[in-house]
Formats: sequence, C-alpha cells, structure tokens
Amino acid sequence: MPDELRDGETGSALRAALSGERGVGDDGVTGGTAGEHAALTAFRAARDAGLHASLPTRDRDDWTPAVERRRPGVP
Amino acid sequence: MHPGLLGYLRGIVGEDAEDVASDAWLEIARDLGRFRGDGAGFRGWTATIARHRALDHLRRVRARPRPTRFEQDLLELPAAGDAAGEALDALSTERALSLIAGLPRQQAEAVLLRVVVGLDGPSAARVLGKRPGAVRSAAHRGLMRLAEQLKERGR
Repeated sequence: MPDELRDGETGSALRAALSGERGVGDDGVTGGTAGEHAALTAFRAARDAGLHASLPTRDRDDWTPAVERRRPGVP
Repeated sequence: MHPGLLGYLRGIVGEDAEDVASDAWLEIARDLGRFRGDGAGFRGWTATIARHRALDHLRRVRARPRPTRFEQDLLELPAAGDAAGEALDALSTERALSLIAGLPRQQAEAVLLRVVVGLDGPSAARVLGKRPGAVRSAAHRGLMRLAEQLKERGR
C-alpha cells in the first residue's frame, strides 16, 4: 500500500516541538493532569452505570479493520 | 493523554489545547463502550472526537473575537537574522505552531494527523472526511513547505 509518508527531520522536529513535555502556556502540566483525572472519573461513572455495556456502536465508532468487517458473522 | 493527540490539538487551537483535550477525554470516557476496533482504530476514533471538540472550540472563539497569546506571538516573530543558531532539531513549540498556522487548513491537519498523531493514510482521511489521495497530497505539500521554512534562518 503506497501509504508511506517520509517526514524525516521535519517530522521529527514537529513531533518533538508539539507533543513533547513543553507546553504552550505557562502551566502546561496542571491542565493535562486535571483533564485526565476528570476523564477517569467520567469513565468510572459511565462504567458503573452500565453505559459501556449498553451503548450501541454507531458508524462513527466502528473502526474495525475493513477486512474484519467483510467477514460474515461479525456484528 | 496520548502526546501526539495533544500535539495535534496544539496545532489547531494553540494555547487552549489543554482545555479542548479535557473536553475530548470526557467524551471519549463516556462513549468508550461504543468503540469497536484495534489499537490503530482507537487512535483514529479518539482523533475524530478531539477534532470535533477543537472545531467547536474554534467556532465559539470566533463568535467572540479576542486577542490570544498565540496570535500575539505571531505578530512578534523575530526578524530575519535574529535566529542565529536556531537548528532544525531545536524547533520551539511556538515556532512550530506559527509555521503550522501559516499552512492552508487541510495541509496543516493532514501533517498534524499523519506526522504528530501518527495515523496511517486511510485513518487520517476518515478523520478529515476527505479522500485518501487528497489527504496524502495535502500532507506531502504541507511537509515540503514546512521543510523549506525550517531551512530558512530567521524566516
């Protein structure tokens, strides 16, 4: 599959600059930690309420590889 | 949070990336039971949610214009010749964001999703709602432009 994207030095520089430990604001750490804590709380609440077992998979949520979706019997 | 996803959000919304990431993670946590797929699919699914939150954020911000620190930084870029010694491997976050902001939107998103988030071509195309060929071209053009700009001293 001709999917390869050779990003070389440019790609390495971008990844380091944007997804490294350095943040744009003065306090890049606190916001991320608070966000993760809130997400974990929300995850636990949803799980305990049984939402994870009861919510249907919409088209946008189905990221099974195409080859698996074509196999008969896959829900 | 996956660092690549936060990097993608920084490229799209700048300094508000942490807030948008928090919104995205709340939705991801809530809808986790709906997801079907493998690890690569999870990266694409979470990127789609993050992108929707980012676009919502941009719409809200544009409805009430205000100067952001990010925009101010764009106006205060150093003049040509001031960036002596700035090496390719010491690209600052601020400079990376200013270069990304100078790309057409589709090129910027294609580069961020392929290079920073690490999505493959089909996944990036699905997140953006575009044809794979168009996203591949956009990523390639965006990278070429960024590479040229990074080689220029002091832009």
